[in-house]
Amino acid sequence: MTDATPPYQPAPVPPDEPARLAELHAYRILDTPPERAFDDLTALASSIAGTPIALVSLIDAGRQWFKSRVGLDSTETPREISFCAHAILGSHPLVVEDATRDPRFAGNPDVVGGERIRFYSGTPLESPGGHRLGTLCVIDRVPRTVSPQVGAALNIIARQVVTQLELRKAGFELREQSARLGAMSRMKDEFVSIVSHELRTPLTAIKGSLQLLIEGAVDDEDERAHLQTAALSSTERLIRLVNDILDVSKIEAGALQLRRRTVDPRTLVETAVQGIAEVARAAGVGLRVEPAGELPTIDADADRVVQALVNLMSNAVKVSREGTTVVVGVTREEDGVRFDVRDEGPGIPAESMDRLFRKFSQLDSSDARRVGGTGLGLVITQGIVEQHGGRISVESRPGAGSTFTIHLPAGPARSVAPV
Amino acid sequence: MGRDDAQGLRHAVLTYDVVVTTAKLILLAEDDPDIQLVARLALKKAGYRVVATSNGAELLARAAEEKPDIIILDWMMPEMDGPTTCLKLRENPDTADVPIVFMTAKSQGFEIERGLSLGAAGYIVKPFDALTLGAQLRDLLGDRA
Repeated sequence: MTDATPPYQPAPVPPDEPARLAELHAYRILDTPPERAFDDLTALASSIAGTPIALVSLIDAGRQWFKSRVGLDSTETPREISFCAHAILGSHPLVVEDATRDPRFAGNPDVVGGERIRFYSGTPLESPGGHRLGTLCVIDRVPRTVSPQVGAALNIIARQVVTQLELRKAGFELREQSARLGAMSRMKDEFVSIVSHELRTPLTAIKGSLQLLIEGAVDDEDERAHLQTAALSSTERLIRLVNDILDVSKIEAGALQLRRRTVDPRTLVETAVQGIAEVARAAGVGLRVEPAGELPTIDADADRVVQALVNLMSNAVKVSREGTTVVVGVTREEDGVRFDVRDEGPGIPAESMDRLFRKFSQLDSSDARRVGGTGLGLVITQGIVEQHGGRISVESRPGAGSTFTIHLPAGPARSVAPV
Repeated sequence: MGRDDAQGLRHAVLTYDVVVTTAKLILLAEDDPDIQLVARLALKKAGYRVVATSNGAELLARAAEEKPDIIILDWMMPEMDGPTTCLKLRENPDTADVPIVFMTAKSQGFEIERGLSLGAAGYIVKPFDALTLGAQLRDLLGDRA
């Protein structure tokens, strides 16, 4: 047997190929079910051109895929043998009156055999972004010509195909935006609900204590003293809440101002430990600082870093059982220092990790949660750390406790070699 | 002279022994120690005896022996929250008839509706008024308070 098959030429890849493919994929149309809007347009094209076959063909990386087809069974063919892959190379329609006479197609398996294509006319589907994604094409098994009127009509239909692609995309983008807005609105409701609860709780203690004290309703001196302490500690809780909300709003607006100076990381840890010692003692939780080796100074806002460390330690104490210990460490790293806060608490399930740094979210959001709070502490901590050019990370295994780690970059070199 | 002085006078006409034996018993579940103290003192001042617990589970454990006249529940509490406690109290024949009042910082309409739908006889939103807490209970519960 001699090789009588005439050669055919696969189309070269267009110069805008990566951007073209990216845009095609952004339409999220490939491999979707047939849609009436597209099927109407191929039916119209087939009818106007008087051809048995009409297609909306989209040129993917290695294939052409048909969003709509008249007179053809296959849903895709290899790009290598695609007529449409040639048609997207130019901005004008590609018309092949007789494929057996065109060296690009004469040996094409769909000319020699397969669909036995003779006539092809493909109008590029050019997106508003300027990329040709595929074609509206009409095909016949006998040679033909295209009249100027039919050619003009096919161009109009091709533009309508692009309009449908755009509409479809606008539709799902709108649905997604609406879902995002819905989620934001639910978050706002949740915020109002949490803030209301977090305001009302200390206000209850303040109002009630002051009412009973002012009215002289309590005879017992210890109970009076306890009421005074309750009013004061609840006032402090309110102040913390207000500060936290302001901090979060500054962080979200990118307006957190740092007052940086050169500080010793050891001092920051000591200050933070002092700040949390009473809370830990009251909870029966130990607090241990691991001895630090040699440490570089860092260029940081001491108050803010202490705030971040106190937040982590406070969380660690909250999740710790009585009698366990929270361990705090600070160590030198190649590019700065790391602070570790380790607890022996219940740990964090993997599926909850992504909620950790989300505003107002708490690991246990049930009405029976053991740990209260606004769900703002870690958001603020992360904001402070990132504003310093640092990063925060968590390692945790359920049942084995958690370690929160803050990495802060070292400040500008302080000690310059003497001249 | 506040309203509660008038109440005080009303109790004063009774003999001491009668006050002690007729004062109704409130079983309270409130996890915030400061609020628990305020509520306990405010209820005591209104003429009630009060047994305070820190969560729903503790309250359930005490309910059988204490035989309270009224139960007051916070909503959000560790171990067992208020709504769960409320349902369990309603299911138990020993406590099914004891009036339950939610006293909580959950203040939105749908939350109040939910609380009442669980079978609570009343709902008091925090911050409550410590000087008129007794009057509020009587408003909600009538003769049962």
